Amino acid sequence: MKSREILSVFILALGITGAMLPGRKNDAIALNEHELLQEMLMESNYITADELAHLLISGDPSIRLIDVRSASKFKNPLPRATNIPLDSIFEDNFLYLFDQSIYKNVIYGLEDQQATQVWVITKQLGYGNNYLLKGGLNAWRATILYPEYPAQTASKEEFDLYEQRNAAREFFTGAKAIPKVDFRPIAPIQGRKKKKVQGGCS
Amino acid sequence: MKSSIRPLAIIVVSAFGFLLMVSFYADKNQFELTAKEVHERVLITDYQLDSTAFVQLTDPYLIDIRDEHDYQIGHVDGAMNIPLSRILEEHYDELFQADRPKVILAYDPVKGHEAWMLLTQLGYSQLFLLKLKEPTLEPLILQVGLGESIGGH
Repeated sequence: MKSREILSVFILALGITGAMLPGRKNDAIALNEHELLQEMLMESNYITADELAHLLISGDPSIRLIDVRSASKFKNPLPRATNIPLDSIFEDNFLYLFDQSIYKNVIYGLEDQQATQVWVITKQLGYGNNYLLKGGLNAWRATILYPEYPAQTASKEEFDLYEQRNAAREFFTGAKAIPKVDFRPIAPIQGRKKKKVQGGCS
Repeated sequence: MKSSIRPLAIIVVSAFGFLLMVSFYADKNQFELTAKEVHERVLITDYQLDSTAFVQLTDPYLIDIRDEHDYQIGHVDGAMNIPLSRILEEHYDELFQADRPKVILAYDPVKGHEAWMLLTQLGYSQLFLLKLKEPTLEPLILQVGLGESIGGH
């Protein structure tokens, strides 16, 4: 009986030792480098300005826009965007916004740089539901707020896309102005005047 | 009674040792830096080069991370092509460990920053990033101003 007690104490001691072992430095990182690279190459992690406009117009309530510009540069954001500056993403009152499964976070900055950095960090921490707006606010302005009229020789798809973007622009800005188009009506071909028939019997 | 305990004790100890080894050697990742350290590192933006900072680098490796197709259409003289999808292949390890500046050339800034962050977090140093001006052709600054400095290799 005594030897059983010794064994129990021994197992208990092993268990306690195991529990007390220090964690690894990078335990917080959920993905290894190969998994992270796969995420980087997966196009579904990125969202274009056109796709975002479509989601916002359709009124998807699960979209949460996160603007990572610094607070001083947080001007003219996307509608109802939350400002989480790049340098403060690890603060307690912000970090939980990335680590959740209710909203689809769309991360954007003025351009790609800061948003990409935030996105990579959230991905490697294993946080889901974080997406990156490609091109950032500049791409949003160029494609949705100021869409470029396609060239006269452009395909029908390009004109359709332009119409969609223009409709989105009206939705987001309320503006209804028709963009200036260099359009010159073709001069009508002057028909030859009919000569009166002369002569003949009368 | 004692004889029946001993094999049990051996099994328990060996199982514990096995678990300990698995937890120690089953490497989750090879990252040298934690997420917070990378975060602190990206706040310093000195790794992004402009044309003047690029000229000051001595003997840099030029690593073009665009896909092979774009690389073949046009690339910077002396640049080697390592598409982002293949950047973790083991035979590039020696290249990234070399004690020379390594400049990542990318057209898509998202891909460029991703490659830089991935490699930096793996512990490689002297990494820089230079954005190409054109999707497929050589960047203008490299064509005009830096022909001599990058012509050597």
